[in-house]
Amino acid sequence: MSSTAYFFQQFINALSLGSIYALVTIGLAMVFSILRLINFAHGDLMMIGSYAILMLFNAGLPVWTAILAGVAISGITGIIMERLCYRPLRGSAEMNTLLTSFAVVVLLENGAVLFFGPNTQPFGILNFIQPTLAVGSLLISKIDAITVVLTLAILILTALFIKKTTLGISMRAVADDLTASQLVGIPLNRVIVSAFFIGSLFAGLAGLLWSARAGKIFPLMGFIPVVKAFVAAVIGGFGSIPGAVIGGYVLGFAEVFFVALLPPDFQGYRDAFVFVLLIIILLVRPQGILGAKAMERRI
Amino acid sequence: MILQVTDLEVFYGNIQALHGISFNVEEGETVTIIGSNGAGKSTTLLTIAGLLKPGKGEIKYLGTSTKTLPADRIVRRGISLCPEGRRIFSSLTVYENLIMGAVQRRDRKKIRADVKWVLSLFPDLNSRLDQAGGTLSGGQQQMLAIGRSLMSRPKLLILDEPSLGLAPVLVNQIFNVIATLKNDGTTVLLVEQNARRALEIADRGYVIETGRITMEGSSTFLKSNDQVKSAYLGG
Amino acid sequence: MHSGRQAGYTFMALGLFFLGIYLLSAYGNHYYQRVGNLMMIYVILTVSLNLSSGIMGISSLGQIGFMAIGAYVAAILTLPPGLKERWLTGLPHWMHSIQTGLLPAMLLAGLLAAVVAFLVGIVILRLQGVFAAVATLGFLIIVKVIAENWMTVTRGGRGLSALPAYTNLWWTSTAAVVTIYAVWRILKSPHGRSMIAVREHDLAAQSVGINAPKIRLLAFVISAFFTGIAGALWANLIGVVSPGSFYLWLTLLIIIMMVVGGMGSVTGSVISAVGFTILLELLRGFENKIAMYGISYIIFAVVFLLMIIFRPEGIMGDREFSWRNVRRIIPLP
Repeated sequence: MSSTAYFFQQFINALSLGSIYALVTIGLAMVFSILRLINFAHGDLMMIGSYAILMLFNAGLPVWTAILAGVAISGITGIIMERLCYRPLRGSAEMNTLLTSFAVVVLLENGAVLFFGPNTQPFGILNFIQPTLAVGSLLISKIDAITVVLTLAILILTALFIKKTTLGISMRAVADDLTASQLVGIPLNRVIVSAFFIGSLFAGLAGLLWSARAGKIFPLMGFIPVVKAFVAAVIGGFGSIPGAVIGGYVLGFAEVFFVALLPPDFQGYRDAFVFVLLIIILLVRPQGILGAKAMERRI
Repeated sequence: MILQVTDLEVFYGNIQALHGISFNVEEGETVTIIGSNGAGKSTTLLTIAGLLKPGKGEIKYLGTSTKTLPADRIVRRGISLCPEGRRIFSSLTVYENLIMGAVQRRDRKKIRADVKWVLSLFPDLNSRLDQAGGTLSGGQQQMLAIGRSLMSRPKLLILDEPSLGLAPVLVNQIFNVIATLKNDGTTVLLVEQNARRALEIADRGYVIETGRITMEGSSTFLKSNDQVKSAYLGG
Repeated sequence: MHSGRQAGYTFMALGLFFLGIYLLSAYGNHYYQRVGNLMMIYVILTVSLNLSSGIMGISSLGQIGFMAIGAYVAAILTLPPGLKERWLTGLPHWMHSIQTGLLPAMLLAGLLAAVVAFLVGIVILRLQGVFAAVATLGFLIIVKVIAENWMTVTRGGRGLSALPAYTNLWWTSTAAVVTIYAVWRILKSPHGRSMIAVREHDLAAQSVGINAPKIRLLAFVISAFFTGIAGALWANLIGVVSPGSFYLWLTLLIIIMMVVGGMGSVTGSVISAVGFTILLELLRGFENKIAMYGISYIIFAVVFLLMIIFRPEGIMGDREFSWRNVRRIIPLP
């Protein structure tokens, strides 16, 4: 394989990984910008979505129905999570909500171990899609192509939603000034629930794409992606939605090219590299690469 | 009676901020509450708006209690508080700020008409509709904040320190708008440090000191009262 | 109450405690001894986490990374030379023939954890709140990734096994008492008051001349030292160390113990660690009986959620045990 072709394939690979990170990060950033909550359990919605899709498919549902239903289940789980775990804590110390989300992770992951068993299961429900697509002399993974195109469509819709709809503007208003947004009559609960719901839908979808990429699922699969999504969010300047998207892609590229460029012996250190990157960015440029003042903006 | 507050007590944790406050506002009236810093004015207003929950006492709006309602429902009933320090949405455009003021309304056509109405009250904002709120000057931000409050078409408009930190020219402009609203029949509850201006425009007033109402009466009465004169009108 | 009398009570209580340890060592069966050892280790972990997180207010999710470092140091030092030569080819030659006892292993484990905490702390402690939390979590993940991949020193995912079972109740209970005493003394010293001042109001504390970054680093390093020692005790109790042992579950477990006991209260941490160790064992038995593995984690998480919603200050808040209070309830001589 020529080096150009190799580079191109890595490029698509990075684009696809970055897309998934972007999808996960949007949900994380939406909730953070409104509640100042880092929801570690956000990654577990990827896991729940994937398991739901697999189980519904195995139960005999057509594949697309299973996917839609599974993603919806992920969204609803997000709503339940907000209602049961985070709403009672609204207004309490930042650290308490963070620790709570950590406890929710343990709760959900062990719940999944209990229900689905601790073992890795193959996830091949998208295998009917031709594995590769030939573009001239290049072979592109079709899952990657679908991931990129689908994410792009979702990102455009999200941007329109945030920019144009009353609910989208309300979300930005709440992120801007919680008190003022209540005074003008923005229904806070509705906005928060919507943020959780949308973010959780995206997480469910990201779970599907992630699992299809990996070809397997397991109860703890969501943890590393969500912590990486946090890194992406930091790269983009925490709390900003466009920043989340850019951060997701930057991280995808950094990771793929780190692996591609390093000798195979060091590839196991990929995750360590990501977090060293995180710590460096937090120290050198805490406002993120985009330079949004997201961190000071909220009291 | 549009608003009736009875024996209101509010606590911040263990600290009591209001020690049983009672006052009322009649439909169409302009009422002012004057008092020094930390007397409990803002606490009173935030409690009426539903952001603070009263420990004891009653708040009745048009005859029904609102003290257990969340803030957004109180706005829907027709009370709008324009908070101290403006608190406009700085990353939203001026237009979006105004739209957010009408977030509880569903009558899209009338909302658009009301944007025009607000812009006619504050012509300075006209050319800045697409500008981020945070880029406006202090005076423009205050106008935007009042405009945003008006966008809910409140039956009772509450203004918390609208002239704070503004140049005299802008203070005049703000008070002219309040006078216009008053003439149009809007009920206004005005909290001001600038007691002189407040009493000029108001029909009646209350004096609040360390969480208690210590005096009340018509503006003419308060203006001529010696205690008020020495404490709030600069002698 | 006279302070000499209080010291007398304390010595008597300690005497009773070590008598109990003696009885358990001499007559207790293996299972109870093991539970006792784990209990002491959890006490060390919780009390030292309380120093950095509760008392000092550093939002750390990476504490167990220091335990991992301590455990690996002790494991490498105490591993029999034959296995060392076979597995750990990355070690310098002279280390292959060395096999230390528990005390040097413990101290070196603590020291190395403290040195790492110093280096990491200089960097991470500049961050605040949730950002510190996630950066320390990043540290934990980095430690795990290194343990998984540095084959010639840690043996990767297979871990180090056949470690000598040096750890016994005397070691763990003494280490626990020393940890409690040290943290208690720090809490009651001017340093401890500075820590609380910085936690409550960073800028105000600095304006009265407290060197906030230094005091934060101090708490972080001391906390890591004792956590490293707990890791060493753990390694030579269980006999195996592997990367997966020192990760999220243990992180959450000691956070739960600290929060439920009361952030800032040494007494609370001790009570809570003791109570949760017993609860953990009971639940494990229950889990085996009904064959639903993982249910104890779920129950712990739920307990934590209920606690943080309904009583976020924990059992003790930031209050401490004192003989004076005991005397109010029980008429002591």
